[in-house]
Amino acid sequence: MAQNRVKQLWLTCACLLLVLLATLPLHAQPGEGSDVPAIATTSQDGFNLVVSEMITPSYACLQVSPPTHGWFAGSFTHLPVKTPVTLGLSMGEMRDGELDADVTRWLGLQPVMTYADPTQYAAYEWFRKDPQGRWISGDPFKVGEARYAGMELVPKQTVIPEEVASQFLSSDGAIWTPWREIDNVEVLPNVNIFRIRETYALPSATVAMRVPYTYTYLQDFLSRLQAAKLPGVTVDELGKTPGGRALQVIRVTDPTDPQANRQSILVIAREHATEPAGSWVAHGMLQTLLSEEGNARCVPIAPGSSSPSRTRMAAPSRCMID
Amino acid sequence: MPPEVLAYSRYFSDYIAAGGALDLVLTLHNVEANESKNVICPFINVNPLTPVDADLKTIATFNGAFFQQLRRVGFLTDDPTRSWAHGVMLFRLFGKLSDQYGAQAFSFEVNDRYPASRLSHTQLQEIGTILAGQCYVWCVSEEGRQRHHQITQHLTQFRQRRQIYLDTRQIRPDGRTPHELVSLGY
Repeated sequence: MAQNRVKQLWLTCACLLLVLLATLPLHAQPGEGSDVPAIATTSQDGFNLVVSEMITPSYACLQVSPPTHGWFAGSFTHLPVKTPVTLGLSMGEMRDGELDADVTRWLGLQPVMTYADPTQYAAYEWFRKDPQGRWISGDPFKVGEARYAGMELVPKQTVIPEEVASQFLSSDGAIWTPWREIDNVEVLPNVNIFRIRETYALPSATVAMRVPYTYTYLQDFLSRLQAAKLPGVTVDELGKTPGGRALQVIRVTDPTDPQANRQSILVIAREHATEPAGSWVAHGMLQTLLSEEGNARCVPIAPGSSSPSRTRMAAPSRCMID
Repeated sequence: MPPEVLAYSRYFSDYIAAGGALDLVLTLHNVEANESKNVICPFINVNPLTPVDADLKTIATFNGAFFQQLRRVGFLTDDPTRSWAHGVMLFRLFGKLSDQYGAQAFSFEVNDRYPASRLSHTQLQEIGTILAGQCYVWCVSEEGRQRHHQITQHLTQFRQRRQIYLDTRQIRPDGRTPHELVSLGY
């Protein structure tokens, strides 16, 4: 009888222990209960990923704040290196029969990443190999010898450490940009979660849905554009947004005859803040007009154009041209 | 009213009043990963100066040539004659400028994350290069020149109406109301 009571007591204790173990927090809050700093995000212009919970030191739950399936980007620090890291984007739960953001919109999505500081102008500079095997910068403000970045496997640049720079080569080795794709992703529609798995070489990296085109970058580009004092190129300032951002229009006109009765083209990009791809297309239009090659192709702004009505084109960024 | 709306309305109304014209207005957007191919035309904005049939033909011709050049270098596009919808988008800047000042409007969605053809931001800029070239080709075409002439005539009449309106009401340019700037384009 006494033996049975002792056994019962032990069983009770064992059950209590199990209950206690079960109530221990399985999900640590960021930075909680560990000597190793937890993965964290740093605030950036237009970025919207925030670490909400650490499942393990190498598995961070992220909130897209505010919830949207149109855009995500985050700059991370304290990433565990040389081990797989999972970033789980929680897109919110069903409310009133509707999702704030639906992860099924990302089926097939491969996001991009960089080790470059996304606030730097050079974090968006790309290079292309010419027929002689020289790397040539795509930055329109680099002229002469400054355009060339060597003939090595990767171009000479300052934003990606040399030891990982080859990760950012195109498959044919002819183009280099500081951004590359992440192909290990998983869409979990039943729980509305998007998982990104990557082994990082460095503890700081930026991950985004697509290559950002930030306001900071635009202002940096415009400063260089104005400093270059290119004939026929002006930046009009219209005012400020309530948030203090400049309202601008870039104008590109035929410097040989600015008063001519010519046609005008207006390009509007980024009417929607979460759609940077349109800004890159507009940026490409502008770069074409500013480049020597572009002048040759787009006869309208080339001196001595024989076209009956001179076409004036302008390029955009947030909004427009003329 | 958001100050941005007033600022852009004032900018363009002053530009038109000073003798400027807008021949083409392009608006660029992007969709998500699997929503469309690399470039599509999401919306056909009907031009106020042109019969609808002719306008649809103009847009199909422009898009057809643009998309053909894109496909030639490997980008994926949709059928240039198809769009998600058509009409007049007065609540968007491009639609408003087309409606008030007669500009030919084009809208494009670009998608660099399309699973079957993902693009770098370098390639997105190449799309811009091709689009710039297509705009030039259209402007120097017979149709582009005719449209410029049509827009010029439209704007001459528009400026006359504007001047009469401002004179009869004794309104100075810096005294224009939001209604006059945004709704009337004066």
